[in-house]
Amino acid sequence: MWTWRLGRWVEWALLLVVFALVLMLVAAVLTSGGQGSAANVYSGAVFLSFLGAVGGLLGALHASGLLTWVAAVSERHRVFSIVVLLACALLLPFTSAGTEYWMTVAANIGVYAATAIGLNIVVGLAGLLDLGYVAFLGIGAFVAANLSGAAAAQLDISVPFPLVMVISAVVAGIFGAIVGSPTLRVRGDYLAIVTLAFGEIFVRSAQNNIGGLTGGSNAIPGIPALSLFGQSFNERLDIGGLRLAPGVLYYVLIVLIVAAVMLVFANLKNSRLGRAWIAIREDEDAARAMGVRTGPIKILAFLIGAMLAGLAGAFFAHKTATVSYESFRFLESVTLLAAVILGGMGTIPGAVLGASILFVLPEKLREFSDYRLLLFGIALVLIMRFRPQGLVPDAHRRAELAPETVDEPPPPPPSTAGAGAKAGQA
Amino acid sequence: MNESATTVTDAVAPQRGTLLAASGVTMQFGGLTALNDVSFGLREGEIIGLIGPNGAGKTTLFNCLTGLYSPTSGAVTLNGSPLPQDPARVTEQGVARTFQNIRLFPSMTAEENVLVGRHVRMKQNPLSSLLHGPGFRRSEAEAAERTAKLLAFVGLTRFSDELARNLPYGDQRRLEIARALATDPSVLLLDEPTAGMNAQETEATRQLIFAIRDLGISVVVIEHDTKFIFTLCDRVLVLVQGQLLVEGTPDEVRGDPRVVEAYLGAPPEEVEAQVHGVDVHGSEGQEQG
Ligand SMILES: Nc1ncnc2c1ncn2[C@@H]1O[C@H](COP(=O)(O)OP(=O)(O)OP(=O)(O)O)[C@@H](O)[C@H]1O
Ligand SMILES: [Mg+2]
Repeated sequence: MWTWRLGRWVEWALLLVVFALVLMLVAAVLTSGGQGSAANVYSGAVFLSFLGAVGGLLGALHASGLLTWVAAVSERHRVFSIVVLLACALLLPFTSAGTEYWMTVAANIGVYAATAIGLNIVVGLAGLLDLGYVAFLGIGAFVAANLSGAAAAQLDISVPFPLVMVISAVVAGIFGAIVGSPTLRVRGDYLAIVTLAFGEIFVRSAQNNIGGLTGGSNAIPGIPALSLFGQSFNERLDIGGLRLAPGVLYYVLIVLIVAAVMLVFANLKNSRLGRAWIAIREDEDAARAMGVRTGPIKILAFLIGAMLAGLAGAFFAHKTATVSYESFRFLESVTLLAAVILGGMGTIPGAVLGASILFVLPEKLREFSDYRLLLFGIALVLIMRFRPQGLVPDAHRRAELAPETVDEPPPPPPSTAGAGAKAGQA
Repeated sequence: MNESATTVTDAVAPQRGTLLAASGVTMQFGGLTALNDVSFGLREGEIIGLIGPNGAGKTTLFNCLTGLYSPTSGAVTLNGSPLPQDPARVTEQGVARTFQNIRLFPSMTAEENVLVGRHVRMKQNPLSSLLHGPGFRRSEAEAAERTAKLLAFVGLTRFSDELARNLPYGDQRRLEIARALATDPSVLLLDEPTAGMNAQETEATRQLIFAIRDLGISVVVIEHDTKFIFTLCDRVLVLVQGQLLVEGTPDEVRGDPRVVEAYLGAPPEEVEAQVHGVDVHGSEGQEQG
């Protein structure tokens, strides 16, 4: 194991280099095998081999302990890492991936990453299986669509976007609390069925244009693009001599939203509330015996998770310009759940990575058309076979697999030393 | 003899200084009567031992005393008022417990387990949790300090960052005690705290329970190891087939012919086992509520 500690500046510089490399790697992975839609019969294959190489490289680095060491370094400089990572994310438009196509894909990834992090509160922290979660994204999107002043919307008002985000989140949160309330009575599989039913009710209602709010099968088209100081988010952006692809502003906005969602998740996880969620996941009866009022706390998990999804939904409505019930079907819920489990339950990088993989892979494998979903499925099965704990497992789950910790002396032999220490102090 | 070691069915009127009292508690599961008209009172600063053969209803009594089960008939009072029918609220009001089959939060560290025990005594609104403001940080610091003290108290400081599931068996039992103490209880209920421990660990646990009593916490201990109980407790209750057979000081109970019969009536190897605290029926596997 690697245990070096270098000077602070050296470690900072090192992190900077690492994150810069990550940025380049992401850009390279995205654009490998040609720029997206470009007609190149081999691009899917090139991408896959490239991905294999990157995966192999990361695997080797991980095996050598270098990755673990870098993770430990970045943990020591948490704030610095976050700032640099955010900066790197914002620099992506300046790389070869800074095309309109990839900015759109990245914005979509952002939407699902934010939603997956919300779902991660419910599933990863509180341990409650939710199979209809994408409905909250849909609720947020439909609320935003109706408040956007679009011609097809039922309400003829146009509310400023920051306020729309709040309203979407609150409305989705209220529905989240309603859906979560059965958790007071049902557990496990039965809860999963209740949430599944809710997702289905949402889709059917939206399909039938309930209250004229969802546009039914016509959807709600023509949602105006966001704009700031007269600069439409949809158009090309010129800063000085720099010319940035259309959609870059959306990308920047979603990066900020995802960052905010991450902050919410991380802060809640390390609080009284977050520990109560995890305790419920671990052993609900024991949690109650420790004074955790499990009912309200489980509902709070649903409520907050749904709010985050609703927030992402508001963005989604403006970004895609059309909101249709078709975007929020069961398959999407399953994909989100897969993103959470694939990435690693209860972790932020896991949810983001999971969402990225699940939405980039299908894009990249477009050339395989008919076999696309098959390959995708095989990839999922392989990952779960060889890394069941997820790609970026929770530190705790990781510790399970490698009990010896880095900085501490190995624990003394169990019981005898323990009793000695005890007797000594009692 | 009959003077002092009374059968307790003629009730313990809740008296001054009584924290937790059961009166006429009966618990039935379908046709099975697990507890039959059990009454007793736990006084301040007291250690009570609860013994009895496997299946006597000891754990069931604990479950009734913590709001996990509501008795079929009879009542439990805490400080003179009826016990809430919700384990979380019972804990808020000062009754904490451990479980016979250890129930820690396995994927949380020892420190986090104890922090969950702090849950009821911490004040954090969701907004402050979200922003990690000064009030939040103060409450986290207070909880962390308290947790460190409790881990030191039970002798687990070196394991504070270790996952609960990786702790040696005996230390898991100690961690459960620390977690229960974190709720600031006035009453602590320990369900077989030395099961599976060697002699040395058992002795350490005995000292630990004395130390807990010295903190002003009243304790009820279930144990099969009668030697352990007789050297630890101020009073001993003997539960046989759901009935409180005998109550008295260790000396009284030890000499009581009914107790001797209840234990000696059993096959010899079982008496042997129970005296040495070995659980011949393997009650570890039994899951409670
Ligand atoms: N939830 C339940 N449902 C049905 N029967 C139960 C339940 N809980 C306990 N019992 C039954 O009640 C009786 C008393 O069980 P209990 O666990 O209280 O015994 P115990 O004295 O703790 O025994 P041990 O020494 O083995 O732990 C047993 O026959 C048990 O099967
Ligand atoms: Mg028992």
